[in-house]
Amino acid sequence: MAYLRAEGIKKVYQEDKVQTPALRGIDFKMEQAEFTALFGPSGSGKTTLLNILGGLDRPTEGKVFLGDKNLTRMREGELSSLRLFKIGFVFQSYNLIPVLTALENVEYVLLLQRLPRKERSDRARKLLEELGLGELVNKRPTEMSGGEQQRVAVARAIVHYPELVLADEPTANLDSNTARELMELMKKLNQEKGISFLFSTHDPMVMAQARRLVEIRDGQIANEQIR
Amino acid sequence: MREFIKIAFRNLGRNLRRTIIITCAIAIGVWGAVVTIAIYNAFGHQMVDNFIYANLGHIQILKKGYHKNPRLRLCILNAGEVLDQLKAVPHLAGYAPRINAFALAQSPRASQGVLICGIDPELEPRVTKIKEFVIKGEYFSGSDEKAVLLGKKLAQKLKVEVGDKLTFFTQGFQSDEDVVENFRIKGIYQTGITEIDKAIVYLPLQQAERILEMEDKLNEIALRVDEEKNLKALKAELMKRLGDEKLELEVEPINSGKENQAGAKLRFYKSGLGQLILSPRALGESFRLNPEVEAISPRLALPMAMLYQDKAKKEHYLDLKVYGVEPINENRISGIFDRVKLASDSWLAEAELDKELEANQDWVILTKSAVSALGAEAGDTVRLDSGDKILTLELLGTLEEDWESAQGENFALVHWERLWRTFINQSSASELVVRLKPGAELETVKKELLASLGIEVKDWRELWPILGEMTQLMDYTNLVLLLCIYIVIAFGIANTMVMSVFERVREFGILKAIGTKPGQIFGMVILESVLLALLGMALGGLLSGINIWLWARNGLDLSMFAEGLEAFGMPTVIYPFLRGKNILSAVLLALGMATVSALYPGLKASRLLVAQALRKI
Repeated sequence: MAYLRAEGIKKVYQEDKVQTPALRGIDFKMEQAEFTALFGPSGSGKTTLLNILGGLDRPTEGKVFLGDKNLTRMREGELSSLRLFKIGFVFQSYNLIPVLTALENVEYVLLLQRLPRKERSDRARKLLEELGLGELVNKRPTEMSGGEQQRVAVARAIVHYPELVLADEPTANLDSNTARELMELMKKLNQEKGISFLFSTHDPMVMAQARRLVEIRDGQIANEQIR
Repeated sequence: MREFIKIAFRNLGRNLRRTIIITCAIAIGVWGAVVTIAIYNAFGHQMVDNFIYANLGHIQILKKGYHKNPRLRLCILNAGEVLDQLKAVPHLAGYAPRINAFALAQSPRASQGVLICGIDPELEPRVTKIKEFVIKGEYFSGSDEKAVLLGKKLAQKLKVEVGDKLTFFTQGFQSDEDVVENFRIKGIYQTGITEIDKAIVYLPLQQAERILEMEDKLNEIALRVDEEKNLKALKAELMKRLGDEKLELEVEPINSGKENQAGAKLRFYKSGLGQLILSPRALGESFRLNPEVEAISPRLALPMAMLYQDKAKKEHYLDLKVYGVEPINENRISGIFDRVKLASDSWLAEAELDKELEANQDWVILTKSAVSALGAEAGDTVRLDSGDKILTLELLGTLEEDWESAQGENFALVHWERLWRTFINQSSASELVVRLKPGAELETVKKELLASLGIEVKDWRELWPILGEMTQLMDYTNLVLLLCIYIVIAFGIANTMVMSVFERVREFGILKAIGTKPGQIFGMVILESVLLALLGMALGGLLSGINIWLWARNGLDLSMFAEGLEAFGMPTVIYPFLRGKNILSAVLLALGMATVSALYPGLKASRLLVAQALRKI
């Protein structure tokens, strides 16, 4: 059975009396250690699908399973715990907590997991160094470039050894070199640590890195391609 | 927790200007509230101190019941022993024995009801500030000076000055006769408390003892504690030492067979043959406070020789028991005077005998057999002989031998006061008979009467409850003041926190996305609010601390309101201070308010929908 499964996902946004369908019945499956990209034009439903798959939003209809857990039936607190222990997130921008340094941002997830102070600090520092971000340890987000912030965000997304990392247009605000470096970093983590990556993008460079491409159009899966 | 506090602090630093402004607002609010409370405290404390040091003392030792019914005869009978017990009591800084009596003071121009208060000129200033309160003339220089100190308002009312003479009319302890005494005014005092300044006349204790016949008796002993915090300990120690004083009184019911119609009778006496109750009127005064008591009468029984010289100059002699009784009171107890047989031509035949015999004390009534043994007749003169003293009395009438105390023996009835003044020279009784109201529960009243004889120890709050209530009222006022200021502060904090949460919606979204639970988000917002309040409080506390410290050193000069303050007996320089409970309530209330004011923004942040929050920029 697939590790991540979405069955018949529909999502309708309602504002006042206007209903806007964002997803119109999506069935999606993903195995462990995949490196998959969702692509499609703006407004096609990529972010909505990603949010629903990560338990950040609830579908209007349909079910989402991570392993044997049905996310759509979980309460808010249970979803928080699931995200804390199993999933890592990377967002488009303004990803880090501005009042914390790079090290503290990475440590924060471990803090929520109630790990001892020394273990937290050692693990976060080691990871940042591994990812070549050792120099940023004591810098706050405002003192870092966009690329540096995104790489720290990736470090935070994987510091607790999640099974799945969801990244919503991680390169959207980066220049092409920085974007390429970030993608290489994620690919390396996928290959070396076996972490599954699912990201949304419309950047052709990012799509070129993905091993599986899923095209979303008008809230539906329009095409799927494995390389 | 440390990390969350660190994060909260850093968040407060994000909009430094806003944080500084709200911190200053909280600080100014706290400073205003705390300083006002400190000034209130100073006024309240000063007011209580004024009463304590003007007359009240911190604690008073009193005869039970005296506080509610301040009568001269409700007094401490064994004053010497009680004063001895006060030696080396821990935390006792001074004691002042006093005798109080209501009197009429008369000057050549006016008269006024007053309380004359006998004080020990040397001991009194160790408890009260009466010596310092003298504004004209002088304080007493000797312990037996025949002089008085008058309150300023009383002096104005009586239109007298230092050096003038005042006449006092009062009643003494022993007899109901009026006491009239003249005293020269040595000084005029002003405590600032109108009730005292217009009512109390101080005179030396020895003078009060003399004119009121109160040797070794006191109405109250005012005490001063070394430090206010030791008040409870001192009171407890005094109650331990004085509380279970025993008078060794026995009590038994008298069976006269008429209890149902007239109410039961109790007889109080001292154990041991021939033991006398000293100052029975003081006991009687205590008993009189019990609502079930109808009548009280002392009886003094002395075995004596009665002599009668007949017309042939022949001496007749008879040994018998002579009973001294108070005619009116005794008649209410046993009705014995209604059974007296007078000579048929006696001028008293139509009179109310008991009342007539109360005023004229030179009479004796004998049993029939005693009269026949002596061979005397009504109207004859007989003598009572104790060996060294002789009392000559007129034989007024005769009685049967059926009186409850006599048990069928020969006896003579005389006036109680005449008997003890002639032969004992000290007010005393062999027994004190108490008649209860019809239907009174004998055993219950007996217990109540015995319990009413002790001494009680009262602190200033019990002595003048309005003072305690006023301090309590002040505490409530302080709390309300704090609340009002804190409510304003709470709105300020709430406003800041709402702004802060709305500015960080996306950030809270990210925090939730990466696994922060709603409760943790809520806690973070509350923590920020509490830290903000703590910062403001710390700054406000520092400001207030410096302010109050400066006042504690130099005092707060209110001389511009001197006239108004002096009218209330307040000094023009006050020393504001804070109590532990003020600080505690200020801190707890602030924390409570900070929490309450962050509830809304906290809930808002914790309930954010992650997906929606992430869409915000």
